[in-house]
Parts: sequence; structure tokens; C-alpha cells
Amino acid sequence: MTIARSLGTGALNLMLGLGAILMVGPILYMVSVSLMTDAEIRSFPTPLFPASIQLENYPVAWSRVRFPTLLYNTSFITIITVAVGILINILAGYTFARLRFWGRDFLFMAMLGTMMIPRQVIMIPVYIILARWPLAGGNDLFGAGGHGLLNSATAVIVPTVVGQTAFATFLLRQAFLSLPGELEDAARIDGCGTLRVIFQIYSPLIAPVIATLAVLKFMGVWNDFLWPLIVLNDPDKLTLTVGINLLQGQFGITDWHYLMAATSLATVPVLIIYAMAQRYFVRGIAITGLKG
Amino acid sequence: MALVQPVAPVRARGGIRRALARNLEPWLLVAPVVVLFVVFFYGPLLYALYISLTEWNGGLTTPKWIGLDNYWKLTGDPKFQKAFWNTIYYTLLTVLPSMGFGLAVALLLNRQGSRLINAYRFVYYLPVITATAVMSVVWRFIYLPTGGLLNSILIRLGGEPVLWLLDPDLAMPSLAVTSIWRHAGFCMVIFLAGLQAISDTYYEAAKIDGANSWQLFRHVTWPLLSPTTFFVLVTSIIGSFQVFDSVRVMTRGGPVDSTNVIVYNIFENAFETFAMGYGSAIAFVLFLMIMFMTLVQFKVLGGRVHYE
Repeated sequence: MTIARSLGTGALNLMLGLGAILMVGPILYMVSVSLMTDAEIRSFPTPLFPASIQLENYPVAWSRVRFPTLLYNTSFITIITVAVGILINILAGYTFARLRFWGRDFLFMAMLGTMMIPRQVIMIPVYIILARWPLAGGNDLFGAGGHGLLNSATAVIVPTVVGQTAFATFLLRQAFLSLPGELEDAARIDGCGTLRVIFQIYSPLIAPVIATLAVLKFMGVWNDFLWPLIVLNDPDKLTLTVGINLLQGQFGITDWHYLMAATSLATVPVLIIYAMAQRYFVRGIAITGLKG
Repeated sequence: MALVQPVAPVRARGGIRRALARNLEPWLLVAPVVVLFVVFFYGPLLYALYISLTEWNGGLTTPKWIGLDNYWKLTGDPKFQKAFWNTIYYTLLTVLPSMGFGLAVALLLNRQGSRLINAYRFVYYLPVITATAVMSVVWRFIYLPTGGLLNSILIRLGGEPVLWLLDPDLAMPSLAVTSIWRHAGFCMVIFLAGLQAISDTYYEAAKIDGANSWQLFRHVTWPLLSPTTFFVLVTSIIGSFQVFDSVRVMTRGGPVDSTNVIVYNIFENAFETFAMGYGSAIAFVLFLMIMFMTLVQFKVLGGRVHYE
């Protein structure tokens, strides 16, 4: 009985282990290639692992893709997108959950309706609106003459915040609804204003939901490619995903070890945050799964 | 009469003022979200509809009104139709395999007990959190005809090198493999959450009735998991309708448009040849495809796929 069971557990782990190797394989191979020499890259068949570890590939990749610039741009865009998004979604989520006002149900349904519409539909008009934004980027009052908001962090941040708002506000509303109203009544009797009720009384109680949403938003904006590809083309403004792809031209055809060092570098920040906040990542996906 | 008349307007004005005062704070609190949705969502949505009825390069010229011509043009555009069928082909190649893989891993993990679940979940979920656009660069290297990982392995095993992404017949399946790799972990995490929500009492009752493992799966797990399965199915289909990043990085729609999908087609039209009107018309086709899937989801999840 116990032998059969441990055999079963062994077979189970073997299957799961093989699958796990397939999953991490491309990521490990990326790191492996990033540590190879020129000669190893040029040889065919290419070895699986480098004979000696060439750490000096990393400084080369670091300066050639202008990694500090890309990292700074991506971090700036990500932090502002997540912070502003969370802030205005908390305000709206609380209001939809707790306050009665004219137009509430209409506005709420209009917001939910946006979740059914793919962002590719509004991509073209939003691009034009940004390009024609009055008095920005050399534009005159009528939006002519310059490039408007294109090539700015704003061009990535604002549409991304909008795209992430409906789902987050919906979830925050559900979370606020689950909290007892007596808390608010007591706080208000003690003289708390609405903002203090939201940020000092209620928000700490739904901190796990907020953290989960922050992680989902972070992943969405950090890894986004399509939208930054459309609105950014100034090399000083690019994000990591776009920069690494556009700057592939900086490398020769056989410079894959440098390119793999660059992609490894680009993956590190996400891995660190994933390792630190794994439970929020998993919960985030489980929540996404529950929305149906 | 004379006494009543002056009172009424005062009361009404007071009522409006009080009502405004009561509504002012909630309106201010939702204002950022509402303004953003008007300027950057519903406004653009109407604008997109208008643009799709015009011929326009997006520049300072006035869009030229051409009515439904862009939509008629779709019916006779072989490139668009290729992109449409490629999208369906990609969906067929990716959705069921990644769901099957994800479900198998979730079932194994669910039996495994809690000790290693977290470690495995961590690993299987890694591809989901990495940026598609970045990992696609890595996949491009793996698929390289000379020097790539796959052909290096094939040659060591005594095989012939394969062209992978450069072969019009193999490009889409090769792309699909990377998508399954990326998507299986997502399916797995949702399935695992669904499995853990099924109460043990069902399994115990079935075991008392003498059910074997297959019967347990077929008659307990599978029906109780069906809302989850259906959700993963619809979400995955909608996701594959929108594939872009991997296509852009690995194949740019080639070779000979064999991996040109709808979103890539929109991108090419709108942002490479600046046919904004035609690009918008294609975007509305995508809109209809996704709307259709969403409505199917509401309809089905509203009733049938539910057992508890």
C-alpha cells in the first residue's frame, strides 16, 4: 500500500517535474545563452550551456540597449499608472458602493460596459486625440503644428489607466460593499470627513484586494507592448519591451548573447516582484477567474 | 393664494440646492473616472465609428466621408480575409492545448497535497508573468534555423534542420507553441482555484458508492468544474483573437502573411500605411467577434453550466 502510494507520488512528481522543465526551459536557456562567448554563439549546433561564464556580456548589453534609460522610463510609467489608477479607482469604488447620487446606476453600467470592448477599437482615435492635444508638444490651440502628447509618458499612462479602471473599480466596489456600514457611521459621528473614511477607515481593511489590484495593474503596464509601440518612437522615451525590440538593430546578426543578456536584464525586475508578492499574483488570477 | 405663491418657488429652489449639495460630493469623487471614460473611451469609440466611415491618413486633412465603403472593401480584401482565418487557426491551435495542459497540471497538483503545490505553481506561472514581447525575442532565437536551440538539438539527434518560423506552413504552429507555453500557467491557476472550491463531501459520497478515479473525474470533478472550464474557454478565445506581441516580434506577420492576424492587420493598416479609416473598420470586426463571445458567455453562464 505505502509502496504503491509512494510509487504513485513519484510518477506524479516525475510528470510535474518534466512539465516544469518545459516551462522554465526557455527562461533558463535565455540566461545560458547570455553567458556564452562569440565562438559558442557562432558554432552550430550551439551548445546548451557555456563552457565558461562570460559575465562581461552584461555590461555590453547594459550600455548598448541603454538599459538605465529604458528601466527608468518603464519604472516611471508603471509607478504613476498604478498609483493614479489605484487612487481614482478607490474613490470611485467607494462612491459606487456607499453613496447614493443621481446617475449612479447609469454611470456604473456605462463603466462595466467598457469591459466588453477590446482596446484595439479605440486605439486609432486615442492615438489621434493624443497627437492633436492642444498646446502640448508644439501644438497650437487647435492641435496643429507639433506631435502633441505622443512620445511622452502621459501618452502611455492615461490610456492605460483608463483601460485598467473598469475591472479594478468593480472589484473595489464589491470589496467596499462587504464592509459593515456601522464603521463609517461611527467614524462620521466622531467627525471624520469622507476622504478620511475612505483612506483611514475602509481602505486598510481591504488592503489585500488593493495589493492584488496593484500587482495586476503592474503586470499589465510593465509588460505592455502594443500601446507603447504605437505612441513612443523617440529612443529616449522607450519602455523596456519596445526598446529591446526596436534596438535589436544595435546588435549584429550573431550578437545573440548580448541580446539574451538584455532580455534577461529586462526580466529580472518582474521576477523579483513576482517572488516577493507571489500570493497576490496568484490571487489576482484567481479573482480574474471569478469575475465570470 | 397670495400667501402660497411666493413660498412654492423658494421651497423648490431649496430642494434643488439641497439635492445638488447632496450629489456634489459623490459626483466629485467619481469625476476623475467619469471624465477619463468620456475623453478616452466613449468619445474615441464614437470617433472610431466615424473614422471607419471615412478615408483618412490621420493627418491634418479633413477625413473624406465614404460611407460603408471600408466595410464593403473588407469582403473583397484577400489580406484581411487571410488575417481573419489565421486568427481562427491560431485560436484553434492554442486554446484547447493550453487548457488541456493547464487542467492536467491542476489535477495532478490538486492530488499532490499541499507541500509542493506552491513550488510547482510558482514555476508553471513564470511564463505568464514574463513580458510576451521580451520572451518572444528568446523564442525567435530558439527557432533560429542555424544556431537555434531546436535545430541544435535536432542535429545532435541526427535529424535535419527545420526552418520553423521561416516556413509558411510551420510558422503558425511554431507561434502557437510559444502561446501554449505562455498561457498554460494561467489556465492552471484558474483550474486549481476551481478544483479547490469543490467540496470534499462530493468525493467522499462518490467513493462510498464505489466510484473509481475515472468515475470520480467524469461524474464529480468535470461537471462541478464546468463553470470554470467555460470561463477559461471564453477568456482564452477572446485573448487569442487579440494576439499581437508575439507576431510582431517573431514573424511580423510573415512569411507570406502566414501569421498575419487581425490585430496585426489593424496595426499595419493604421500605423504603417496610415489607412486610419480602413484600420478602424477592421477593428470593428474584431469588436463584433469579441462581443459575440462575451454574449455567449453571459447566456451560457447565466444558466446551463451550473450545478450547485
